Amino acid sequence: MSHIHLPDGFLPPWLWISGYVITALLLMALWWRGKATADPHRFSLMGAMGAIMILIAMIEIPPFEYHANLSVVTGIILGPQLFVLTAFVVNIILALIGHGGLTAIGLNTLVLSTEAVIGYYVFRLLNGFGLPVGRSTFFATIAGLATGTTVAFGIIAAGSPWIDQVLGSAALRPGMELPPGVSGAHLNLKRLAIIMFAVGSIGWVAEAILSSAIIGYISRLIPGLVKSEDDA
Amino acid sequence: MDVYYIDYISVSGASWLHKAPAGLKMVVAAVMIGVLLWLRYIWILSAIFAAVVVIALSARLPIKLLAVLALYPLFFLIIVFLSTAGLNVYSVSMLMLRVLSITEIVILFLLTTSYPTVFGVLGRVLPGVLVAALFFTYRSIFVISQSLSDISIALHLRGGIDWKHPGPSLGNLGRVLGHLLVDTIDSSERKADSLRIRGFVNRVYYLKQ
Repeated sequence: MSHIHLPDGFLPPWLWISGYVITALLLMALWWRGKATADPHRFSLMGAMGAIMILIAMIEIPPFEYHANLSVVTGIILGPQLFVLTAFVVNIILALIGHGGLTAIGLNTLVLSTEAVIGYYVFRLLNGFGLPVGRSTFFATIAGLATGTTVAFGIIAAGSPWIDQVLGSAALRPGMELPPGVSGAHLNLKRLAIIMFAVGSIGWVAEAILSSAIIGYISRLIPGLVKSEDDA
Repeated sequence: MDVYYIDYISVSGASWLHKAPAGLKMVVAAVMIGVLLWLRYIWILSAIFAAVVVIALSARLPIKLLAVLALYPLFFLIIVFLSTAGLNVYSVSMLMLRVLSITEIVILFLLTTSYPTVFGVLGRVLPGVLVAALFFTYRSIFVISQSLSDISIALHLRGGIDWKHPGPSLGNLGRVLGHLLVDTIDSSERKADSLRIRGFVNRVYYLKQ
C-alpha cells in the first residue's frame, strides 16, 4: 500500500488543502456526471468494500508497519468512479482511529484513487489481451501500487521544505537559533525512497499474490462482478 | 477489533463528556489541535497531554485503549525518524509528544461521541451522499468483522499460514478473503433490497436526540 502515514503538522497547509480541494472537485465531477449513481445495490457494495479495506488496513506488518489495503481489488470490483468516494470514506474512518493524519485525508484519497484507477485499467487491458484473470490482477496490482507509491513519494518530496522546517524547529528550544553552517534535522529523501520503494516492493508482490487469489476466486463464483464499468 | 470496542465505549458511556454536545466537542478538539501544531514549548505540550489524560480519566475511559490507539501514529512516526538526519533527543520527544497529544484528543472525541452522531453533525456541512457512504461503510465493518473471525477457521482447514512458504500461504489467504468478499457481497445485496423497499434516496436521515 502507499498510504501517506504522516501525522498532522508535518505537511504544509498549501499541500494538504490542495489535496482536499482536488478531492472535492473530483467527487463533484464524478457525481455531477451521474454515472456513480446512488443505486442501493452499488451503494451497499461500496460500503462493504470500504469496510473490507479498513479491516485489512488495520493488520500491520512490523517493523515498517506495512499493510495491504486491497485498493486494486476494490477498484476492479467498483470501478474508478465509485472508488474515489470509497477511498475518501475509508481515509476518513482510518484517520479517526489514528491511522494517518486528518490533514492527509485528501492527499491519501488521491494516492489510493491513483492506485485503483491505474490497477483497474491495467487489469482491463491485460485481461482484454487474453491474459487470465489471476495474472492480470497480479500485474495490475504491481502497476497500481508502484504508481501510488510514486505519487505518495512525490507529495512528500513536494512538502519536504516544510517538513524540514517542522523537524528543524522541533530540535530547537524557543529563542534558540542554529549556528551558521550547521544544518538542523531534515528529511533524507534518499533514505525515504529506499524505505518506500525497496522495502515496499516486497509488499507489492505479497499484495499482488493476495489480490490475484481474491479476484481469481471471485471471478469463478460471480463472473459478472469483475467486468468493465460500462457493462455495470 | 478497535472499531468495535470504540463504538461500544462511545455508545454505552454516560459520563459528562459523553453527554456534551457533539458539535461543541468537535470545535474544541479542532481548536486544541490547532494550538498543539503551533506550540513550541515542550512543557506546555506536556501540560496539555497530562490534561487530556486527566479528562479521559474523569470520563471513565479505558486508559489502556487510549494508549493502544495512540501507538498507531507513533509507529508511523518511526518511519519519519528513520528517514530523518540530524535528530536529537529533544526533537524526538517534542514531535512524539505533539503527535501523541493530537491523537489522544481525536480518540477522546471518538470514545465519547458515537459514530452516527459524528456523521449526523457532519451531515450538516457535508453532502448527504457522502455521509450516507460513511454510514454504510461504518455499519459494514461490524457485519464483516463477525465473518472475519469465522474465516480464521477456514484458513486453518486450508493449511493455514506458513511464512516459510509465503506464496502458497498468501494464495490460501487470498482465497479465504475471496470467500469473505463473496459472503459480504451477498449480505450487501440483501441490505440493498431492504433499502430499496424503504425508499432509499441518496441519504440517511438522523433523528435528533
